[in-house]
Amino acid sequence: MLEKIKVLYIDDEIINLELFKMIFRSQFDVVMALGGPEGLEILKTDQEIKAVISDLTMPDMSGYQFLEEARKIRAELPYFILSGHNYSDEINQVYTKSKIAGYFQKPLDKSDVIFKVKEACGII
Amino acid sequence: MDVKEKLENNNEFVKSKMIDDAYLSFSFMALISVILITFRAFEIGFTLSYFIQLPISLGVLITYSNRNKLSTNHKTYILIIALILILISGLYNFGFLASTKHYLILLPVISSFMLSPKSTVKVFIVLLLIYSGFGLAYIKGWLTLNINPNELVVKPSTWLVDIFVIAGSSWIILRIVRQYYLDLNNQYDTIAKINEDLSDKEEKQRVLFESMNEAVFLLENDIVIDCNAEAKKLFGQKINKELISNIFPRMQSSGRETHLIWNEKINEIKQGIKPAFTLNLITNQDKEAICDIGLNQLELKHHTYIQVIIRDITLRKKREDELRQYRIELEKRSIELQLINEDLKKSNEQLQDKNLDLENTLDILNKAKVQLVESEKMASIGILTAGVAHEINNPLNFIKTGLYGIESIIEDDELTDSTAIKQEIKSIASKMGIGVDKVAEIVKSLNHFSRNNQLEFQKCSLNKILSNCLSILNHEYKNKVAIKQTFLKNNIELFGNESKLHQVFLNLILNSIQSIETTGEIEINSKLHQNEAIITITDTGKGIPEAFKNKIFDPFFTTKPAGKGTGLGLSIVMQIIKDHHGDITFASAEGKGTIVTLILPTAQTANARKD
Repeated sequence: MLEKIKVLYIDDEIINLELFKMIFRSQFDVVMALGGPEGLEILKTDQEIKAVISDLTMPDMSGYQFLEEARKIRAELPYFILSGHNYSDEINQVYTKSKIAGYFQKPLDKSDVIFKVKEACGII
Repeated sequence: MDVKEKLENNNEFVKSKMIDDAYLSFSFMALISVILITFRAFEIGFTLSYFIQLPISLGVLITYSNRNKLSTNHKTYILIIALILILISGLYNFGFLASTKHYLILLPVISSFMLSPKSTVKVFIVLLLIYSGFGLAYIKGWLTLNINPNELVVKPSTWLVDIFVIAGSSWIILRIVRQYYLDLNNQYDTIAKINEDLSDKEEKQRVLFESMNEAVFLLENDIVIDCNAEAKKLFGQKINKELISNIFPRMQSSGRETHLIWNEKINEIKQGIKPAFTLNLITNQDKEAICDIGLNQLELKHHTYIQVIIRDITLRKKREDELRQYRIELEKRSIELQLINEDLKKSNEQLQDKNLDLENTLDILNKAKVQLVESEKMASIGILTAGVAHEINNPLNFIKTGLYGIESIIEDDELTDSTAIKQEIKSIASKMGIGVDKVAEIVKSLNHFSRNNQLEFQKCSLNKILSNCLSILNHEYKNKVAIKQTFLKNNIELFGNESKLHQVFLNLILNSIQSIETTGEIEINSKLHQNEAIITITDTGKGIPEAFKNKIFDPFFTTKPAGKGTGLGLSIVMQIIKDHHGDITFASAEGKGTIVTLILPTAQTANARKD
């Protein structure tokens, strides 16, 4: 069996984090971060992380800010956004500008997440 | 009556008086001399002279008694002849001793007063001839003195007669001279009186002439020989004694030469016409004046004059022209007014039509307004949709991932420990429960906005309304604005329309949030003051620019780009607050923030109003 892909997931809701880790535990090795600053710390230390999924609307640091900082640390990683916002022009701009790997809308579609993350990591 | 005639008449009267007076004196003398000579005749004898003198004296008496029937001249000649006859008889009898010799002086005097100088000379010559004739007769001896002079000289009658004749002659001369003197005085008075009358009359005429409003000229051969003050005023002092043509312009406005017209008019006078015409003349100020002219021919002392009467009618003409112009203008105006009136009538009809159109438009606008107000409400909600969607999507994510979790537990064959499974499901279920609650809560607060549209007033909790608004706006301020909810320490019950009040606070708080560009703070406070709720929303936003302060409540005023805001938000807020008999004020400092103060009725106020 292949080693599980290590995924960093950032959200300001602990419930989201816990449930995310639980439902993807058979596919991904989920590392949780409660907010952007914590996520950046993990990125710096954990070189095993292969993909990053982040919420957009968060206190302290927004998803966009986090993405900008994160790219400075690990530019090559695929970055995904998981947000309650409907896909909008604003998001589209970030999508093209930051070349994010994918956009997931809450409530999430589990298979869509698995497929796109694996695709981005070159496993499929 | 002519003065000369008057004086001549006077002369005649004086002469007849003088002759009558002389007759009276002579009659008196004749009477006495008849007595005296008769008395002397007895002394020296009845001489020829006595018989001549007696009838002559009686003749004088008879003439005097008939004096009124005879003319002055006749009486004069009778008297002169009588006296000459007496003189002759005297000289005949007494030679140069005759008493009547005094008549030689008396007669020329009488003649000079009564007769013409020529007749007087004749009388004088006749007298000299008679006297020198008698002288010659005595010298030649043709006549001899019958009396002795020595006897005569001692006789009293001789002296008496002589004295009497001298006295009488002197008396008559005195009378005549006296009469003449009185007459002269009288004549002088008459002349003086006439003179006075004349100068008075002349002065009056001069005044009349000078004070005339018309310029009057007296011309002789076109030369001004006299003119009045008005003439000098109008044409200058120098016109007097000059040619009248000095005041003629060369040409008249008709194009004719002035002197030709003038000559024509002068010729008309000669045909007995009194011409009246109008000419332009040059005045003292070298201006041309329009003048009415009247010409008249006068005859004075065999001279022919032309009287020219000139009246300056320039001003009158000007007034007349102006009046004519005004009349034309008025007629024009009148027509214009009629036209305007017609236009006005038409406009009025059009306005009435327009009015109907406007009423229709107003109806349409009113309907549109209702629609707009509704759409603003929808817009308010619309702005929030994204946020609301996010707020709902998040708890929905709990539920959905929870379901995935349960699914994975069921599918996971490796999980056999039932306690662990139970534990896991319990955890998932509680998280799903939280998600459901959150969704329900949001839906509930949304309900408040979509609730009935009618203005139904009821008690409603201010804190609930504010909390609902904040929860809907959560997405708008989260991570950006800190909300200090100091209102929570009070629990004020408002009286109003819950849905509308939600709209008010949602708008106001959203405005505050949007005024903060990066991060900031909003404090929402509430307090009770005299049964009214005073709510303040204080933000640290960019404030309202001075230029916009008077406009923020205007319908359709917005600083947002087209399509982003209707501009109706605050005008609707204002309307709702008015409907609640409340009040809203803004205090703002640009760059520092804004304080909105709302006064709204509470349940107590409503009770007080009911009472």
